[in-house]
Amino acid sequence: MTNKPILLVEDNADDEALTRRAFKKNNILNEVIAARDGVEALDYLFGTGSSAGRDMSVDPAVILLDLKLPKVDGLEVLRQLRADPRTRLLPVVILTSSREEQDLIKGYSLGANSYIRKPVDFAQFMEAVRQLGLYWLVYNEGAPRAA
Amino acid sequence: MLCVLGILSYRSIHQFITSAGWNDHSRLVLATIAQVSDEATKAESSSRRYVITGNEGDLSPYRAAVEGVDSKVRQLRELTADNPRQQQRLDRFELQRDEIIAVTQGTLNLRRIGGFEAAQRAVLSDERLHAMQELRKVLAELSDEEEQLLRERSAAEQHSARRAITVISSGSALALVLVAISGWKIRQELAARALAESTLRESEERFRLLVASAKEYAILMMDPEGRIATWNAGAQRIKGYEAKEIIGQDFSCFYPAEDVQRGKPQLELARATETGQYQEDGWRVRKNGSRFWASVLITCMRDPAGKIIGFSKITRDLTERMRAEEHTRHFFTLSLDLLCIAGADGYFKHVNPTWEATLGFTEAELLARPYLDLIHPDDRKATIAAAAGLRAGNTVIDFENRYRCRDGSYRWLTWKAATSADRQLTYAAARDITNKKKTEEAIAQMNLSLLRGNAQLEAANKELEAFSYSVSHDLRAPLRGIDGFSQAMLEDYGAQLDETAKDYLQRVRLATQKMGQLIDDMLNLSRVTRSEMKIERVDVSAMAAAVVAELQRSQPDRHVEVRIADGITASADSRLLRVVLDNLIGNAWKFTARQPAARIEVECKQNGAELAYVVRDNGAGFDMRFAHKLFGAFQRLHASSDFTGTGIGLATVQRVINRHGGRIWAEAAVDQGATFHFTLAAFSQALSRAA
Repeated sequence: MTNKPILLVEDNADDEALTRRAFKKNNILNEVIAARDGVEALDYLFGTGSSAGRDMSVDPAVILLDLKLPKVDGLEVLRQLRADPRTRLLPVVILTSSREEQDLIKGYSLGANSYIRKPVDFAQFMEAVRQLGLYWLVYNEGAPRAA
Repeated sequence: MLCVLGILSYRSIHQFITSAGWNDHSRLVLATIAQVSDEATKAESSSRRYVITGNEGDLSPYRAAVEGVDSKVRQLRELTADNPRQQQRLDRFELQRDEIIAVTQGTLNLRRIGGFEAAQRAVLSDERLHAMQELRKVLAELSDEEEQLLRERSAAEQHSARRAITVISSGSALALVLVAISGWKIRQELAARALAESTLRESEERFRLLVASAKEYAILMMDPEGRIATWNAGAQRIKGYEAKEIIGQDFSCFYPAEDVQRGKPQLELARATETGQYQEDGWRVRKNGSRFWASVLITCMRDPAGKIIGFSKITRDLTERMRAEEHTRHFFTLSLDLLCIAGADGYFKHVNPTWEATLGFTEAELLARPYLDLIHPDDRKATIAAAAGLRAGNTVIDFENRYRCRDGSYRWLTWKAATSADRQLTYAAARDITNKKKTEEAIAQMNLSLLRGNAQLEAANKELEAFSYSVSHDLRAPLRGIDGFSQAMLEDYGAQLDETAKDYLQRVRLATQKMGQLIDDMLNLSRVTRSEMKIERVDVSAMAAAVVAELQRSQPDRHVEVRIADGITASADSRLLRVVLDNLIGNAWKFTARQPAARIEVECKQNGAELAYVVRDNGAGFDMRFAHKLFGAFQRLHASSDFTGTGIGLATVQRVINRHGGRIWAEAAVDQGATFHFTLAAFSQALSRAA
């Protein structure tokens, strides 16, 4: 199991708390870095703005990306990080309340690795997070770090 | 010619003879004058001798001479009776003569009384000498005149003689030539006559063959009473009789009974007799009784003396032509379109009644002016170009222009036109498309407003989409929070809560889940309305089986007898049809939960012209009094405590069916099960039913 951090891009504090709790309940102890909007997420990924000067040697194991975000929305974040060679190969899981078909299609066509709909039922949510963590943090062999 | 020659010769000779006679006469006159002169000289000399001799005996020769002069002068008078000038001269001569005689008598008396001396003086007197000179002068004049005449007459005589010779000799020559020509002519005439006779025979034969073989014309002869005498192939073809059965019959058998009754055949013969010919177009009858439209020419034939020897009759069958003209006339008159024939001069030659009906102008008014006058000024240039193109050999199809009506308004016409072979006439058909134009305009207007409406609708749809998006995203997030933290509370602080508190928290969780379901169903409902439809062939049987299998998986304990007919197919949007089956079969599954021997049937049957799909169960059913509420959103016919549900499922189903142009209806009774029927009418034609 990798000890790389998890980047959670989520503007809803409740969802953030519940997600953190779900990881913890499922014994996923990786650091969870939260970004509250698209700009924060991009800053973290490229070491700019509020994240200027962070240690850029560590990439997140997976990015959990909500779509509906203030400032820059999730799809735009995805587009930018897929366009940059440094972040082109990072695993991105879209984790959203939206079940809109358009969002699914756009997300996958922009290069999302997975698309998970947040269920209302907490138990289901817990289960989803558990599987997500297992897959991306345990089974998935990440791409070699880009130059 | 010969006769003229004879007359000419005769006249020449007669002239010659006459002029010769005249010459003899002149010579006789001259001789007589000479004799008068002799006698006068004798009288003179004998009178002188008496004067010398005084011998009485010498007086008798004198007296004889005087008498001689008198007799000869009388002769001259007779001879020159036709010449007034000579007669005058003779008068003068006689005057002088009488004077000389008187003087001489005096001289003679003087000799007798006075002797020789006195008489000699008298004889030699100037008076006497002068009288004698005068006398001789008159005689000379007489003689001169006659000699002049003689000269003239001689010349005339010679001319006559020459002419006579010329006329006679040239006449003879001419006569010879004429005889030669006549001989040649006669020979030629004889040859030509022989040729003409053979040619006539040939031409008669040809003519006979021509008549006999003429198939388009009935050519026949009749005797003066109207009985058929000859018959040709054309007559047989047109009238149907064979020669042997018709020859000798009265020609009135060719006429319709009513014409025969009116005596028309005889009337026609009478007219032909009067004027030489009778011509008419009219109905005639064939042997088989059918009528045909004939063009008839009857000619009266007479011998050189003017006696009628019979009639010839030529008949043509113009039925087809008459019919063709009739067709043209009828179609021209009946046409709902505007038909016309126009000349190269820019005027209409014919227009059909539809013109007057459309424009209000009478036919006479339309023909009286160049048609360009009636065309809308803005359309004239194009019309002139189209007409020119037509004359150049182009066809005109779908040309449109406007014609003025009597009331000043304009009608739109669309044209098809062609020209006659010589391009002098234009045949054209026009259709009044004014209403079509108006309709098109109205449609364009409507389309415009529809477009505007569409844009508004699209905007509204966009808004709805945005709304749905935020509903699906933003409404669910708090619910997840409520549920999530309730769960967290139960898990983390469950030990500190009593049973009632735990029960409350459980209720909070149930309520949030229910609301989550409601939101999902509402999103579904709006999605079936908005989403684009893709019609394809759907295997309904397989889809129903898949739905049932999923239900069975979710509730493995349920025991339901499911019967799905094989080979049910539909033309539909498969995703939407899946929503329908999910709901209908899901409902059947749900409402048979309390039925120990639950049964669900899916089949399809012919319902009139439509194909109806049927989902039947033996579950709780419902009261038909509330059937009208069945398909309304949020309408429930069962208490949630009995059966769960949001009341949106059937509303969604109905929307899907509506979008497919079909209908849905249900039959049920409480505790007797429910049967749902639906059609996909608009696409039912594409359905195929397997056995």
